[in-house]
Amino acid sequence: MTTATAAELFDPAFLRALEGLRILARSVPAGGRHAEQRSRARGQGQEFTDVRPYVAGDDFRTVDWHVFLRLDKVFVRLFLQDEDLPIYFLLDQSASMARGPALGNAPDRSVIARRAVAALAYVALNHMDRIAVFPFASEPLRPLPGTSGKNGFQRLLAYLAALPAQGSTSLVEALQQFATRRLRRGLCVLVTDGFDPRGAEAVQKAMSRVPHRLLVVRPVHAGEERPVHLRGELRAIDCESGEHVEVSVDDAMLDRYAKAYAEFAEAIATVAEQRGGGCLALRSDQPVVPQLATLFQNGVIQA
Amino acid sequence: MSLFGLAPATFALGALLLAGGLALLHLLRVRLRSVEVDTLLFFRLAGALQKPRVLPGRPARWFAFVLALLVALAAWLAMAEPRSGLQDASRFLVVEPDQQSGEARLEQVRSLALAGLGPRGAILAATLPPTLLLAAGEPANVLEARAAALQTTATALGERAAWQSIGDRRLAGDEVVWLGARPALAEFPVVHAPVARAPVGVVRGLRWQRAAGTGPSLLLQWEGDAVPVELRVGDTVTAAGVTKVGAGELLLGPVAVPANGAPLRCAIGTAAAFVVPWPTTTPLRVHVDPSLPVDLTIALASILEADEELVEAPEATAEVVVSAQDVPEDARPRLVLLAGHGGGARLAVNTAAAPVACSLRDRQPRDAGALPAMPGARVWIADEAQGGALAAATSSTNRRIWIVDWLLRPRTHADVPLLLLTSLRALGDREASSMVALAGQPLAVPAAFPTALAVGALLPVDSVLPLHERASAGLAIASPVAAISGSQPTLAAIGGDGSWVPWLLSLLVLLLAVDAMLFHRGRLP
Repeated sequence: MTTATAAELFDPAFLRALEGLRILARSVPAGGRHAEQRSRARGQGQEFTDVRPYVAGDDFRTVDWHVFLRLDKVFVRLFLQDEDLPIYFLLDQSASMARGPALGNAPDRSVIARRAVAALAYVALNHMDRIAVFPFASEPLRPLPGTSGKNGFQRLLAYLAALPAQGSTSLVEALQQFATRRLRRGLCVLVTDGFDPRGAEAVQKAMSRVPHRLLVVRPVHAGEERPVHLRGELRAIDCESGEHVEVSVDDAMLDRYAKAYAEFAEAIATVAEQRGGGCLALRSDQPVVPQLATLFQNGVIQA
Repeated sequence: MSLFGLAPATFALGALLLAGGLALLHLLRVRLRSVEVDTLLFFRLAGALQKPRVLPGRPARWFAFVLALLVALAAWLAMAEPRSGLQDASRFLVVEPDQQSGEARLEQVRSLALAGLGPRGAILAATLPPTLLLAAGEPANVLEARAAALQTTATALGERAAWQSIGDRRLAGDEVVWLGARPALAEFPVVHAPVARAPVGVVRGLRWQRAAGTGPSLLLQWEGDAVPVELRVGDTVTAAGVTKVGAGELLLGPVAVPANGAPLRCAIGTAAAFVVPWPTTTPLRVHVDPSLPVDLTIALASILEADEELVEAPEATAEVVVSAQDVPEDARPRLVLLAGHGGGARLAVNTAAAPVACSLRDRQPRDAGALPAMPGARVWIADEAQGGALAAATSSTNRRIWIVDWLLRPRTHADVPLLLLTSLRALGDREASSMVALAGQPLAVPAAFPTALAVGALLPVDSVLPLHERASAGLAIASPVAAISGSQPTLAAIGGDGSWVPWLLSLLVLLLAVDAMLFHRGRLP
């Protein structure tokens, strides 16, 4: 189990680096709270969108008097409603996420993942968007229900710091369960190493069923795509399931391993791109925010 | 390179079997390293579920195979005992055991062994079976131990067996020497070395002894068989009697001193003959002053009692006086033994003028000084570190010898009586000593000493008589059964120099260390 204090996970410099970033939705479905995201709903926003004939009950303040004088008919002006963007974090907390790199002393994937969640949530909460965290391992863990506002950030940090990392990876089940939730459409940020034993195809299939835009963040360790330190005759033991395989790791095997890894990463990224969010491999040996910043074009993620 | 332990064909066959066996083992051997990994997904995707070793197939780790093969071949080669330089000329000695001449034969064999046996040479005793006395590369002191344990007589069959055992090891250019009283067997062309004549005994001492009312007699201390002793003055054999006075002691004489000074020769059987200097006719009267330390007085009394040519006398009639202080008005020769007065003398050495071969280097530094400055005195012994004289003599009419007292400590040191005796005799114009042969002592008298006896006159005429004691390692007669049942080394087990075994074993250790290191780093299966 990997837990840490909020101060250990997120220091002030980390938070300062997040200022100025924004997640901007192309559009948000109607029904949300008033916020800064432009929605398809007509309402009390600032942006004029249309006029329509007046009907009883319309707010008199929206009557377009210029049109009335010209046409002698009463019309009301319509504005776009600004609403919030719901952002759902699917956070992998399996045992493989709690493993550090084989070489070097970079933090484990779970720390990187929680920092990424905190960073993106901070950006969202800063702009009045709503977030929710759905951690999972072998089964769903206790979620953080929807929260918004800057005050919710401290609650998020405490929540993240207390999250354990244990058990096996049930990414496919987690995605399937998430897909069945009746949630307002928004952005789903999937933070996982993706090491589901069922392979990339099952993961791809589950990802494609998520009814949200999908942004994938994969914490990775340097060199994990070609683990040269494993050369030799191995009994490789899975850290989650305890299963093992006996394998002779030589250059040829490493080449095949690297190819399989690249194909897996490519498959995940492809689905993420198709689902409109993109994919980021977050290196554990490098600072989180600069890497996340690559997702923001001109400081904005178009979700 | 030659192989001593294995035949070349055996070695090659063994090497092939080792290589084949290792290759087979290497194909099958698996030493798995358990490693926890993040996921098995990619190993599975990479098709890693194949068995690491499958027959038939290639070894997955050629380097590991080569390393193991090197280790095995190095060990195998070490067992084959490769040696280089074995083509060089060697010397084989076959010795005929002989009880009568055991000591001399052993001495002769020893000297030949020290001259070198070459890379393949050996010394064998012509017993049945042949007994290895010394092999090339073995320390020479092994020879005496094995010779002492030799309990078998020589036989013609033993000699033949010895020649045959040498035959297959002998190369062109080797020297084969037969050491025996009888000729070697005719069918074996060998060099026949002259056998040293065996001494029949050992001279332990020979000195003059004077009995009251008669002429001087020679006291011969002899250890060995009974042999005829002959005294010859010039060319004439004297009619001196031979009296056994104790165990190993013979009194020869009395001998009349010839007026013409013809030399006296003492012949002991056929083993040795000595030229013996004549004794002086009148004993030297020596007075020991009672002011000397008691222990020194006792030492001087012992010398006067032991030397027949010195006699203690009252001060009034003495020719030489020994005292603790000089008396300048007394013109008689005087030995002054000065007490030390501090100064920290270091080790002293003989100078060229030193009268005796004092072994002063083994003296410990003492808190004593050197002699006071004495112009004209001849320095006998000097302090090498500080340059001061420790013993000195004057040769003028007022003859004196000064000796620093610490030079005579401890009183039991071998130098003390020699230095005192030499000093007294020098003061009395007597020859250095009538002790012509001392067992266990080297006969080293400085040539510069004016009254020294000629060393050559003291040595046996044929220079083979040992004058010092030696362990009596004999080649004696005993039951041949005992020799056969003994665990003597064999000629097959011997070898020469240039063995590769230590180097191969070092290589083996190095390879094993590399193997262990690579294994622990996970580079080897």
